[in-house]
Amino acid sequence: MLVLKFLLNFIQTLNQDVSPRSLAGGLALGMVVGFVPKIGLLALILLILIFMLNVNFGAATFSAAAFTLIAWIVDPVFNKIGYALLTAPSLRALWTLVYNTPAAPWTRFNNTLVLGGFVTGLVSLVPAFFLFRWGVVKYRERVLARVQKWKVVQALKASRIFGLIHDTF
Amino acid sequence: MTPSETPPTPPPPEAKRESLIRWKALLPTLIVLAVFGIFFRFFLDGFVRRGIEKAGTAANGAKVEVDGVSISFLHASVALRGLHVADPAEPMINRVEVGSMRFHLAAKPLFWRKFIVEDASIDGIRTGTPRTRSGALPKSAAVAAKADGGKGKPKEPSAGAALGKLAFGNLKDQYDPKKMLRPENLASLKKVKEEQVHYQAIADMWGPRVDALKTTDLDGRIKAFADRMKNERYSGTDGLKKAKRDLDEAKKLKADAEAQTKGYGSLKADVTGEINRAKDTLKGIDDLKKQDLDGALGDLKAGFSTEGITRGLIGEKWFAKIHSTLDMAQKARARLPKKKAGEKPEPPPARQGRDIPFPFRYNWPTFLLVKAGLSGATQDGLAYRGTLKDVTSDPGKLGRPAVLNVAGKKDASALDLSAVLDFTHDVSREQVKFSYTGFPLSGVKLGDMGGPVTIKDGRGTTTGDVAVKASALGGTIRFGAAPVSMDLALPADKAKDRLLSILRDTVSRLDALEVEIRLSGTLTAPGFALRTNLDDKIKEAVGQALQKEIDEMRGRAQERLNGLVDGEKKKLADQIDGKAGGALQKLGLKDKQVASAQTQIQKLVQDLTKKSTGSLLPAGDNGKPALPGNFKKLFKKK
Repeated sequence: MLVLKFLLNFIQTLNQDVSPRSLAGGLALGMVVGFVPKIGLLALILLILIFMLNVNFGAATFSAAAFTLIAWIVDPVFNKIGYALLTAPSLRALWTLVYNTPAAPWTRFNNTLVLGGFVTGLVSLVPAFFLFRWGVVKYRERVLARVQKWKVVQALKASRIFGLIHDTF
Repeated sequence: MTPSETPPTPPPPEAKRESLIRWKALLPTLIVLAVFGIFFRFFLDGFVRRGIEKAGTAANGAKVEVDGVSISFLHASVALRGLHVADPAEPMINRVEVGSMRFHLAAKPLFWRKFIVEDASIDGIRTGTPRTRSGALPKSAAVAAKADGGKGKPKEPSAGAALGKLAFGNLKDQYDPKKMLRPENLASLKKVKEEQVHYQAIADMWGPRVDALKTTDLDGRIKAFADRMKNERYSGTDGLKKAKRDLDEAKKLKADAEAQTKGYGSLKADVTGEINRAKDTLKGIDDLKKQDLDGALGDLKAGFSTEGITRGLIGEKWFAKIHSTLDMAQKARARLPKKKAGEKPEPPPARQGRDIPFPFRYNWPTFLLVKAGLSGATQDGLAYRGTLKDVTSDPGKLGRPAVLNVAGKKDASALDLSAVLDFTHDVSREQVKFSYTGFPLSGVKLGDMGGPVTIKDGRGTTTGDVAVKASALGGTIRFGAAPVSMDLALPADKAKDRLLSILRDTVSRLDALEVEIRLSGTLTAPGFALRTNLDDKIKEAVGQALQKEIDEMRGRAQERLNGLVDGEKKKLADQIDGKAGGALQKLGLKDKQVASAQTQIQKLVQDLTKKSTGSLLPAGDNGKPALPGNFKKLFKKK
């Protein structure tokens, strides 16, 4: 039921007058959170970032949940990326420096899965932001306007079933 | 209005540049973080307690409970109250119980996620304490605990370690031939049944093969040819051609007869081969019967050997305790990093990843218990104190083995235990030495020999020196008690059993008990060899009675086995004789028919030769008619 509520909230947010920039920012940051295993300080820092940056929190939550599932599937790829980065001779000095920095080990950056997921998320952050923004605009222009005209949707809205479902869950 | 005068359209909402930082969220974020902090402050203890209980239960295979946990960030300390580790084998007993544990962590290493316990105290250690509630896991949890790396209930002793598992019941009931020799477990009976099916299938194949070799066709052809030849006359050039055709036909008939003889020979060889094989199998079944009998009586022999009786006397429970201790040691070892220098790392566990270490400015392992003071008491109330040093997650980095020392003394009793667990090298070495003297034995329950064996009075001494190098286990555990008095309480129905009553008398007369258990094998598959002063006494007391019982039982078992197997074996023998005899008889008859046909065709060829050469050809040099070159070859005697 929580999943349904998440989805309904997200669709509601998507259809509301929330700026595409804020939505795309939330989705992109949520993606990074989703990719990073929820252990250690890194996840907490990312969570604070979502709170503090002007991004839509609902979109970020939805995106984090969705990308956690994706991360679960692509876990071996993240492992390989993390392992390659952590064992790269050219980066060894950097990792050693970070490793010796107080509090840094609490981020668990030296874990192959954490670093692999984090770097993948970080690299995809900017392209994902623009992609999501474009997607939100196109959705509102093309899909939303058309769907709103569907009799089924209008009937549903009129019957208040949608609201009832939303309130129930 | 000119286009230049058109009022500017208001920018769309997204075009309005919003601030990147949500300053308004600063305060709520701080509040949320503060709530988190408070939540941790008040609820972390509970989380940690439940975490310890969950992980401990999964590792132990029975409930692990903690009365309370207190974590202080200010003092960098963790305190646990009341740790109860239930025994999976006896859920109403605690394997270990600890009154309190306090760990003081060094603050600085915590910044680098290193847990260095500088000082600890573990007090109130007791073993075998009773529980008020069962420590057994519900079925589903037990399955989950087992799935969690099979760290559940200790494995059933196997192979030579059916330790002391001996039922000294009424021998006639316990070793009823009907129970000992079940048809489904008998290799001999299984083989007979298999052979019956196999032989039937083979015999079913012979019939069509024998029938397929028809002699009647050939007979008919030869007869028709002979009839025709009787009236045949050859003259002139046509006669010569005709004679040649007839000779060719005769040659073909001869070849067919030879082929048929060959076919019979091959089939006969097959049938004879199968018969011989089946007869060999019949002999082999007798060997299998012997094996079945020995197998059925094997447990009985092992159980009622002097070593078997000693194991029964000492009891499965005590061997299981040794087994369980070794099992725990194995589990603890399994948690240590296994990678040897230069070895390729194992693939990281799914959804966990692998931590890659980097050079660190301090020589701190991830976890290190520098020193812990221990105190506790044995089940007999002997208080002891000791220390545990250098327990770490990275023994190679620390370069020192973990050392445990415990000692205590009270009146005539004394305990001394020392253990060195060295995992600093590729080949690990662990050595445990202990000595516990003068402990009271009154009321100690041993094994079951038709009834419980209990030590009535006496004091005991146990010493041990056990070493594990890599996976090889070795060492000795000695137990002695003198003077001692024991009792075997036989229930009324078993008291009449001749062997058990002899055993009861032997046990009650014993005034000294010495047992030496030699350990061998590995931690996961330990071997136990027993040496005891009971051997001679038991041999002397029960030797003859035991042999007589075993002989009687063997006779009864043999009778049962014969009844089960011999009938089926006779059926197989009859089947062999019946089926094979019929086939061979048929083959013999047909063989005779073909031989007769061959003789007939041979005679016809000779007659035809005479007839054709006499009437068709001019005389040769020797006065006989001369044959053309090809004919000469055809009639040439071999």
